[in-house]
Amino acid sequence: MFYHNSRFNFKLADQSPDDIAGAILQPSVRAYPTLLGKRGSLIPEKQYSYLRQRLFDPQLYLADINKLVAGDVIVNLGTYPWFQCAHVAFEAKGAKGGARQWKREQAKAIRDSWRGAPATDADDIAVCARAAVQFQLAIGCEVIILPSPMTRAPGSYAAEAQWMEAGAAACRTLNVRVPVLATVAIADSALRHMRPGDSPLLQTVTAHVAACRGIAGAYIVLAQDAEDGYVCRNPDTLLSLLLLTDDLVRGAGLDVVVNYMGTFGAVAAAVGAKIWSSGYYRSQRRLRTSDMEDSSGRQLPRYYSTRLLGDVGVEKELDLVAAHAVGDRVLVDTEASRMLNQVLRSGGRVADVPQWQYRSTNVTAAMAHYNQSMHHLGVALDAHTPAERIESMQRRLDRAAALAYSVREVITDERRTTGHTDVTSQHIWQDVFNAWRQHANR
Amino acid sequence: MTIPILRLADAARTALGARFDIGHELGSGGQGAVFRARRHALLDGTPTDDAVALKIHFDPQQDTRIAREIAFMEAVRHPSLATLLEHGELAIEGESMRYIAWEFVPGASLSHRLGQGPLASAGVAAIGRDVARAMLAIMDRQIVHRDINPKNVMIRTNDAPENLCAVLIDLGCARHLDRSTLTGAWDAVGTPGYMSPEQSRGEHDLTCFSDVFSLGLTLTEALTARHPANHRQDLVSTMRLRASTFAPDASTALVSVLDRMLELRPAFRPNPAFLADEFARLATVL
Repeated sequence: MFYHNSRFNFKLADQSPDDIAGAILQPSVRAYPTLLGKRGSLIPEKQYSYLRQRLFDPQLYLADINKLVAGDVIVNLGTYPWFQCAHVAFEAKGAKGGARQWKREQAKAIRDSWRGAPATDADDIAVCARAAVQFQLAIGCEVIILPSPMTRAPGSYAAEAQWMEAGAAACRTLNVRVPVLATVAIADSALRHMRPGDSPLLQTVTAHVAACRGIAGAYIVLAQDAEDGYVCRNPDTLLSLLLLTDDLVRGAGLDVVVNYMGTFGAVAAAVGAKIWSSGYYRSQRRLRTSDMEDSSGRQLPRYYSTRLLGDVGVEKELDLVAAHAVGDRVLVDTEASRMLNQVLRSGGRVADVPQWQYRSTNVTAAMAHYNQSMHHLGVALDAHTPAERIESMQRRLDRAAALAYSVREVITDERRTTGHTDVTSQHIWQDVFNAWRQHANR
Repeated sequence: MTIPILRLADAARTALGARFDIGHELGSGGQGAVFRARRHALLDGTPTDDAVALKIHFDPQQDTRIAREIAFMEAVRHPSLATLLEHGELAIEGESMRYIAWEFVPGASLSHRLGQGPLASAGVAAIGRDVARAMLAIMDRQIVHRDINPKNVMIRTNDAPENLCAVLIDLGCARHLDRSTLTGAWDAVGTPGYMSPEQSRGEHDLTCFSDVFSLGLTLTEALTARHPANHRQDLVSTMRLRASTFAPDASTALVSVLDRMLELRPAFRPNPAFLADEFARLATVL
């Protein structure tokens, strides 16, 4: 099932599907008074139907980011009690200037008190974990996600296990009736240099999640710190995700939610993940700590092809590809792309369609197209039985790898690539999926 | 410490006074000796009459580990775990030694019992049920036993197989998940031949699934009266051992559970709660 990985703006681009199954919310993009209304419920719930089913990722794994370079994110995170920052609580009644003004006033105190590390004292962990659970209950989440620090090295999982147990204990004390997921947040650097199939870290993680009483599954986030690019291409990281998912789903009989892996989340869904989440922007498709520090991102349109399983650059490559025979295999019709596709098929160019012209901030159509594409992909996968899902994904990956080869030939021959077209990840994903099937004997 | 066992018993009698009648030796090793004993009074002098297994630890390097075992066992009470009755220190020949008075479990260790031949499937299921229940009890305290093997499983009676009662003993190797380890990095703790793959790698962050693996090996051995890998830890850690291969005549339902317990990847092993229920069911139907 595809969930939208929410940003600070809850409003989805026009023409986005109105039946997206749900959303994952994050504190890094919103201070708590902008999420909680006067009555303590989620503010925009009634406005946006996709928020009715919602998960809230406490993002404790961001507790170690640097306050000197990620100041804005820290101010958002620091408003939530599990980050233990000093600030004056927001009083909705009579607050001059509302939540935004309050956040501006509290920013310095929050930055000054940012610890740069999650709590380590057992009593503090218990208090923080409980606060994260209570917050999610207050905003009516369908599932509780327990906070966890980021695993940055393969050596020890003791701190993460302690947070997990503290969160599970808080859920028992608070008599939580909804399913509870443990956060599994691992930096890709911890997954390198070890064959995923033999990785002690992965086995330790899955064993701890499976052993924790009251846990229904895991919410998996793999941080893409050691690799640049929109898309994860590291085979170890990718195979690690599939093995984690498979061990937890097929081995331990638990649920898995995958976020920040872009469309590879759909591959994890084929392996057994119940929910995968992504979004149009880079910061919605991947978790990279340096993204938190980067305020220079430009909003430019990209054309996502669920056939290619990758972006096609709108500036040059899409025109080029559409002019060749391979074009029809790349174009995917959605409400948001239909007009563009018609123009391209009849010999026109991207520039002829104002909604898709390569201009800064002209991303509404591209975003809506992405949301529709992911939604359709999610619905198509959900329609299959688990066994069919694997075969369906195999066919999709095989086709995408072949298509990527053809597209690469076109854009390379013409020597006109902007680097915005993804033609290198497909065969890696295909290889990884094959490796998982071999490992899992599926 | 090289005090002969007889002298140790005499010295303990003197040190503990009339509260204990110390009988014959039940076992001894490099770190301590266990005696059958009868306790006539509690530490505060209140009269009592308990059969005890009195363990005297004579290796001072094990003090921290023993203190940990005491702390674990004082916090846990369960019919499938030996009950700690009393502990303290004795001055023997000028040296301070720790002692623990454990509830005496009448019967024999599974290891001893297997000297007479394999157990019936129902008996194996009954042992699995009891040890799984003991694991659940320590798991609630976030404790991993780390040394489940036939020597640490006591069989209480010699009744009909389905009435077998097992008691898990010796939490000397146990570890609380929140506490620091007593071993160095990558030092494996446990009994070779019975350690899970992750335990044999020396990982510290073990879970109950490591104990599940060790119990799977122990029960597979109980079905055949021989260790499935001839006590070779290297084979145990790398080969996909299957109870169904070693005990082809045993109950299919039982060996399928044991096969899952012996999965190399921990998450594929069943959890203790499932095992307690499933073995309880199998003990009555086999």
